[in-house]
Amino acid sequence: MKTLRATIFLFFIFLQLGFSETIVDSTGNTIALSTPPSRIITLAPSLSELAADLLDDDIGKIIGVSEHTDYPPVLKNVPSVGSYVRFNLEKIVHLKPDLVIATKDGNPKDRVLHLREMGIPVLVVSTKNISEIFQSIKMISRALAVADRGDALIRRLKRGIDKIKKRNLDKINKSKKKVLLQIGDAPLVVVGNESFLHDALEIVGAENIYKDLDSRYPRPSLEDVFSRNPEVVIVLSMSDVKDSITKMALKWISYKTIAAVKNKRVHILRADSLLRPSMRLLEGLSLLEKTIYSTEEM
Amino acid sequence: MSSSLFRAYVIAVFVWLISIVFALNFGAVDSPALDLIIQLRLPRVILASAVGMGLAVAGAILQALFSNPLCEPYTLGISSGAALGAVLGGAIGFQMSFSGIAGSAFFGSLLFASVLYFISLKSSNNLLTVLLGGVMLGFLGSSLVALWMALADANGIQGALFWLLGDLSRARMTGSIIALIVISFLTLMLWFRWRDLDGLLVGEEGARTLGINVFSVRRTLILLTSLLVGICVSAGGMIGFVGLVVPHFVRKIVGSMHFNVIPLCALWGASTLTFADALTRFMVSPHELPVGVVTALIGAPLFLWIMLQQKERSL
Repeated sequence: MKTLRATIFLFFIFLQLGFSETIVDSTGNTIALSTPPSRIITLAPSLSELAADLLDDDIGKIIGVSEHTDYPPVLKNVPSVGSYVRFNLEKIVHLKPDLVIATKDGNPKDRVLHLREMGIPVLVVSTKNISEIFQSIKMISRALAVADRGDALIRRLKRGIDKIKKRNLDKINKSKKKVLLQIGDAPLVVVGNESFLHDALEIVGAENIYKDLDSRYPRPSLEDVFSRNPEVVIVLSMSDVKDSITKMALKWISYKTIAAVKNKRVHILRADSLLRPSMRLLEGLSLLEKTIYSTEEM
Repeated sequence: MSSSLFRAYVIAVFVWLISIVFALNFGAVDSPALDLIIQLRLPRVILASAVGMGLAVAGAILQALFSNPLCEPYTLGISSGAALGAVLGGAIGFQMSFSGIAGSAFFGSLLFASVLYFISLKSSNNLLTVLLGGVMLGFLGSSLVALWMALADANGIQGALFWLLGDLSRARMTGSIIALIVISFLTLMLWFRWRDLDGLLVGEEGARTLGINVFSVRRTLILLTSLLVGICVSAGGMIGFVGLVVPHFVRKIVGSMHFNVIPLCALWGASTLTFADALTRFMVSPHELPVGVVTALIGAPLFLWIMLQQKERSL
């Protein structure tokens, strides 16, 4: 028994020694890790969720997160290093991380560079669209030395997405619902074809009325919305935003010529699971699906 | 040197040293490792001192040059050129910084400075034309920045946006030392012209009778100050009020003779910005306030107070 235990122990030591990973991240930077990281800082709520999914029981290895990180709830107690657009360098250096996970979509380039200059390994991922989300999961799982779990999560995500796609196939063949996804007001901010939210609409078999705009979050004029005449308007928000969202949705009420308003199909969707590209995306996609195809009036 | 003047220098140096100690000791984390102080706080203290010095000196020079107490380093629009350079540079994927200094911003400020210099040549140094030309350049630059922001992806301009409000958190050792050397050098070059600057105070006619070649002096001053503002803005973004308030404050202490005004502006500018930058780090940790917000929040009431005091005295 003793020898077996010793062998297993040695085996794990060997695994640790054998770990050496070189990853080229989405900024083209090479990150070389000789031991699996055990002090990890994530610089966006979605990245914390992904890292938490991948680390599973080892979630304690996350020692620093960005502001508004609240899922899984355990992470609320982890020290914050500030907002993702302006994370605090002093806090990060003080926590002595051996891996920082950042996103190309929001973390300022120069601050990431600054961290690297101080010798802190930073893995930058990109989560612009669904296929990039898959790549990100792969990269992060390799960096965390849980590549197998990463592959399993990707398979699960892909299966889930296929399932949702399949059950909406009939809608794709018939006429698609024309949807406006709104994420901001004054100025109006909508979802263009470079955002993963556009992919989300395609997956549930709906049509983004701004699918022709080659940008992530374009700001069209209100008149333009009139001319595109959406059948459903969905105001997307994080769950911790309260009144401002209701006001955003109520603003549509007076524009009766828009089909969505006439048929009372202006909805508010508070869905962190959809807005944060991570494993909870499946949950978010189902929510989006339900909202678009609900017959309920607002 | 009279004893009161000597005291003014001693106090200025002392306050600067205190702000340095304060800035090195306080920040987002308590009891930091020495590494952290050397890697993060020291470059910031050096950069804050350099930029504060440059802005205050530039303000003092421009106020004398245009005989206008409202002039500040950003009046001539050089900073808008820097902002435009930074935003466009960021958009074409140019690295926002070279060791903490925004190269594209410096290029933008150089471009605007040369246009301004050209205006001053063309207008045969009509001061009003240069001033208005500078203000117009400023409008042009900031409206182009606004145009870009209206059309660009919100994500890409975030970095530039913070930079526009004043940001010393990007400071790196090499860049900070380069900035300190360049700014000190330009400050010295301007200081050596204290006689000419004093001459300008008595007006164009008076200066001429003192044997000053007003045209060439103005041109040199505009060129040097533009360079000074350009490097300050490229290193620290748009930090308001230091360049406006510090010169007024210093003149109240030592009068308007530039032999003393310039070094004291340099010292007080350095202390003010070093202190303000330390405040940005620990006031709302882990958030970091834009340093321009802090200097304006402290600067505006202080400026009003100084102004009202002056009024009282003149009554």
